[in-house]
Amino acid sequence: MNCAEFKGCLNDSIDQELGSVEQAVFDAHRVSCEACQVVYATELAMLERLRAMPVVEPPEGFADRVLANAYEAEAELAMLERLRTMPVAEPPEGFADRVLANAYKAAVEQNVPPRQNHHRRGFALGFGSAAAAALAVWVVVGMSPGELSDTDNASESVIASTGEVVEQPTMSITVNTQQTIRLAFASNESLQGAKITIRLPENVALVGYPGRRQLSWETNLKKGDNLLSLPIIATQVAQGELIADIEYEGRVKTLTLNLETGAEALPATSSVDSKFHLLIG
Amino acid sequence: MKIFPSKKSEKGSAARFDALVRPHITYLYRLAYRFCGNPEDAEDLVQDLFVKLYPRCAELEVVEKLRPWLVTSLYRMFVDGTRRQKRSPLELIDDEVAFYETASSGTESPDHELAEDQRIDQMQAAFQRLSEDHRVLLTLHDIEGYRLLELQKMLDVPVGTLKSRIHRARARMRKILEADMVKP
Repeated sequence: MNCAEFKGCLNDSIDQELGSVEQAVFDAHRVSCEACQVVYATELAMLERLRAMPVVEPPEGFADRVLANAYEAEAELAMLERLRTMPVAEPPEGFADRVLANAYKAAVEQNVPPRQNHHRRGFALGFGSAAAAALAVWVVVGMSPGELSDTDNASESVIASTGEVVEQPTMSITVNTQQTIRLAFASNESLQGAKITIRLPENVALVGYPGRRQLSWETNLKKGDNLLSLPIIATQVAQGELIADIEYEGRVKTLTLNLETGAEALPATSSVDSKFHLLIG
Repeated sequence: MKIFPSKKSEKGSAARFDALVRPHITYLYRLAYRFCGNPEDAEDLVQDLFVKLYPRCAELEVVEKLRPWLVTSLYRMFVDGTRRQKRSPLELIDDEVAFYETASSGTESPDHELAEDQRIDQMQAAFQRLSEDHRVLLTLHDIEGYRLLELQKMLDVPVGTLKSRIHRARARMRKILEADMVKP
C-alpha cells in the first residue's frame, strides 16, 4: 500500500469499515510510514475533538413548554374543526320576501329611486324592449292610520315577481271603512303621456267617484317614484280585483290586486293605508 | 411540572404522549442545536416537530425504536425547512465547486491563542462554518454514533453516498481547522 492508497482507506479504517485483510495492510503501512502516522493521528484527534464538543443543554422548562404548546396547537385545530362543522342555520319561511319588502319600503319612504340598471341603459327608451323591460311589484299593507308603519298588529304580505304579467297580490279590507291604496309607479326614466287606467271590483268604490267602475287619465311620470293615492270604500263583503294598467307607446303593464272585503267593522275615523308599487324599468 | 390539557379526554392522550416523548426531548434539542447552529432555531425545530407529532400519538406508540424514529422526523423537518429557503444542501455535495464555495462561507473565527477552552471554541466555530448537511452528517455519524446502515434508513440515502458525504464533511472540517491554525 502506498501513501495515496492509505489516505483513501483512512476514513473506512477509522469507521471500522475495512475488511480484515485490508485493515491489516493499512495497519502495516501506518506503522512503517511516519507521514501517514501523522495523517492518521491528526484525523483521529479531529474526530475526538468533534465528539468532545460540549453538550448543549436546553433552557430550563424547555420540555414542559414544548409539550404544552403541542397540546395547545392540537386543541386549537380541534376547535377550528368544530367551528367549521357547526350546523348551518336556515332562515325562517318567507324571510327573503320580508327582507326585500322592508328594504324597498324603507327606500320608498325615503323617496329613494330604484337602483339604475346600467346594463340596460342606452338600449331601453321608456318601457324599452320586451327583453329589456323588467317589472317588479311589491305590495305592503300597513294597519296604522294615515301612514304605513311596522307595528305588532301590522300584517304584511309581500309579493315580488318579475316579468310582463305579475302574480296577484291580495289585500284584506273592511266593509264600510275608507282605506287608501297608494300606488307607487317607479320608473327608470321620465315618461311623457303615460295612460293610467284603474278598474275597480263591483263592491268597491273610489271615494268622490260613486258608481264609476273604471277611471283613465293621461299623466306624465317622473323618473323615480310617482305616488297615486286611491281612497276606496267597500260597500259589500265580497272578493274582487282592482286592476291597474299603465300604458306607454303601445305597451301595457298590468297589476291585479285581489281585494278581500271582510265584515269586521272598524271605527269610522280609522283608515287603512295600503301601498302598492309598480316598478317600470 | 407537567402541563396537561384541561379536558379529560385530551388529558389521557396528552399523558400518553408525554410518557412517550419526554425522555427524548433534551436529546432532540441537542441534535437540533447542532443542525441549526443556534438555540432559537433549535427550539423552533423541536417545537414544530412536537406540534406535528402530538396528533400522531397512536402511531408513535407502536414504533419499536422511538429515538431513531424521532431523530429521522427531526432531520426531515430540518431539511424541509432549509429547502423552503434554498435548494437542498445535500444535493450540493455532489458538486465539487459548490462544495468548496459553501464550505468557505461563514463567519471567521476569532484569533485566539490555543488554550483548551479556545480549542473548544475553535472547534465549535469550525463546526458552525460547515454546511447544514455536513453538520447533520457529522452530528449523526461521528458525534452521536449512528452507523451507516442506520443512517441509510433514517435519511433514505444509500450507504455509498452517505460514506462519501461523511468523508467530504471531515475533509472540509480539517481544511477549516488547518486554515485557522495558520492565521497570524
